[in-house]
Amino acid sequence: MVSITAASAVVAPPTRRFDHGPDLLTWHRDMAAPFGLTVDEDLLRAGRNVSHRELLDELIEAQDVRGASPDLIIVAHALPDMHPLFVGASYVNKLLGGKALSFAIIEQGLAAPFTALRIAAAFHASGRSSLSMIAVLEQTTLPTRLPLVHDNELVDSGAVLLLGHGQGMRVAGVRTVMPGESVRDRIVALVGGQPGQTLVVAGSRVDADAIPDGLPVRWCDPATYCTSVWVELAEHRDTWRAEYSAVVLCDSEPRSGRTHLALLAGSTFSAVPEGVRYAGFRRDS
Amino acid sequence: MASAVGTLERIESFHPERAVDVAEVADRLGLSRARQRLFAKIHGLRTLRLDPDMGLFDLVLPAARAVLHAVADPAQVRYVIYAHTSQAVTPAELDAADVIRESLGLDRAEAFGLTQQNCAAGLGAIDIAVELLRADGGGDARALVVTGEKPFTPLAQLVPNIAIMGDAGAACLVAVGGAGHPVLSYACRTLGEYADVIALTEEQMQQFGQEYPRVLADVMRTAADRAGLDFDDIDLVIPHNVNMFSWRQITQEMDIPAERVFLDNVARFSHCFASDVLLNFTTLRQAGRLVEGRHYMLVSVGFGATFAAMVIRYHSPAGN
Repeated sequence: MVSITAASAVVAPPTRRFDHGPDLLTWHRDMAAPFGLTVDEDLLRAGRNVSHRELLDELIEAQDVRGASPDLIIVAHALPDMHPLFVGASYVNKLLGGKALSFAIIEQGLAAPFTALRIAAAFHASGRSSLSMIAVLEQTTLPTRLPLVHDNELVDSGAVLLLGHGQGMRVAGVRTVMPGESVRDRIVALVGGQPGQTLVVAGSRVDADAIPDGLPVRWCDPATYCTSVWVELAEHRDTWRAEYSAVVLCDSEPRSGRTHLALLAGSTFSAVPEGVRYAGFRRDS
Repeated sequence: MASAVGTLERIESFHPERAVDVAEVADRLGLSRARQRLFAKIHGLRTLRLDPDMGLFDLVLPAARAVLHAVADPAQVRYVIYAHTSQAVTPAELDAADVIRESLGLDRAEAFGLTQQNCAAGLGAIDIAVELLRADGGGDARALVVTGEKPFTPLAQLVPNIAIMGDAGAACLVAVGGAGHPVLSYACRTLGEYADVIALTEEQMQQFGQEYPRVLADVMRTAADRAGLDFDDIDLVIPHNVNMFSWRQITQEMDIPAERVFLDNVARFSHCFASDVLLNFTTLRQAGRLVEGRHYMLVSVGFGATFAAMVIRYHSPAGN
């Protein structure tokens, strides 16, 4: 199983200057119109205008990540970059050695980084990757009003994880819990009967009743959405690794109603969890 | 020869009936007479399919529905991967991949978009689908790869001096150990110095033009090598339809006859984002030009810049 060997995070970097040229404004208008939406240029001007490039620059300059040379780079986000023709995965690929397979996972809300984790683990399991990088990005300057962003006062944020075979919490499973199914039961099934203590790291949209009784829980900043549990993980992974036998990342996507789980196992978490097959990944069904 | 892990069980494509002369589009894009001659005489473009009344999902869904006819139980489809060129194809209010999943009635599938390989994203999606299914243990699980997008704005309608974009959609059903066309290899290389597509200088564009034939030839040779084949074992290259000129450069670089690359659809459809290779596959299949047991190389390049090639062996189960 692959481990999280390094990480970095950025939250609320400095606001940048609005620099949309006429071509980009036309792009946004032409994209919005077929869906009955109108671009509000004031939203762009009032936004923080932090781009994916700026988030990536800051994330890969962190001490733990600088100089890494991954062979797989996955960018994951729920909200699009405001520069639609900038290929962030290619950009960071070049900065980190230029040898990686790189792409982005999108259009899944906050599930995108969970899918990125599945893919990275699959590439490790098949031997096609020995060091992968997942960059979870969230920029909040949008050309149309989106209540999820604008009513929740989201901030720009990002996290980078490096996954390899070094020391760190092992990625032991990724699960999707469908609407109507019990998140609590799924968490219990994932970690039940294990020695030591398990921490649940929960996004702010997770129903509090979903957390099994007796498990400590850390709630994420409601000003983050797709990045929530990943920023927390990047900032606290060393402490958690020392204090807990396992960590469950848990977040609920408001649009799909699905809840997404990732089990990270410490060194004392040895048993194979419920339902795990092959590389340890399956969708519950 | 390499042993296959993934298989392509069904491939379908769709395009609007409405054909438009490239000269008409060029006028609308404000291209000079000289630029129009470049696209017609040098790049070999003649017509493309464009239907302004057809929405994004009208374009994308028909091929996906046709592919799903091969699936006995929709619950077998574990992943829906919508691979597209533009970083976004809808406003942030919509998750396009999830709209596709829901429209197809695939209630329990994981649906996500794959981007940032631009027009090479379709091949990348097949590769990722194979790895996900393999990690899940294979069995009867399937992944549906969907392509297709609209040239909805001037920046998406034209790659200056290189391509004019048209409407098409395609889809592919991916399995591990299934009964379809075995995927023998995949090779991919990214040149991140061209990541900021809109900000490339004239000098950078020239540099990209110089690197393009050499890098793509190298990726194609790598794909053949990983498949355990000599390039001479490849019956036909099934390419993206960027233009005739760039493929003449490639065939010269590789010292292969132009007939080894299927280019008939460049004049018929022009460049349809990430759908070209699957669209061209279906054209060849309908024409009876794909032969049981022979090897074919799917090739595409995405601006930004990703070069990809995949070798498959044609194996036609009934109905495909």
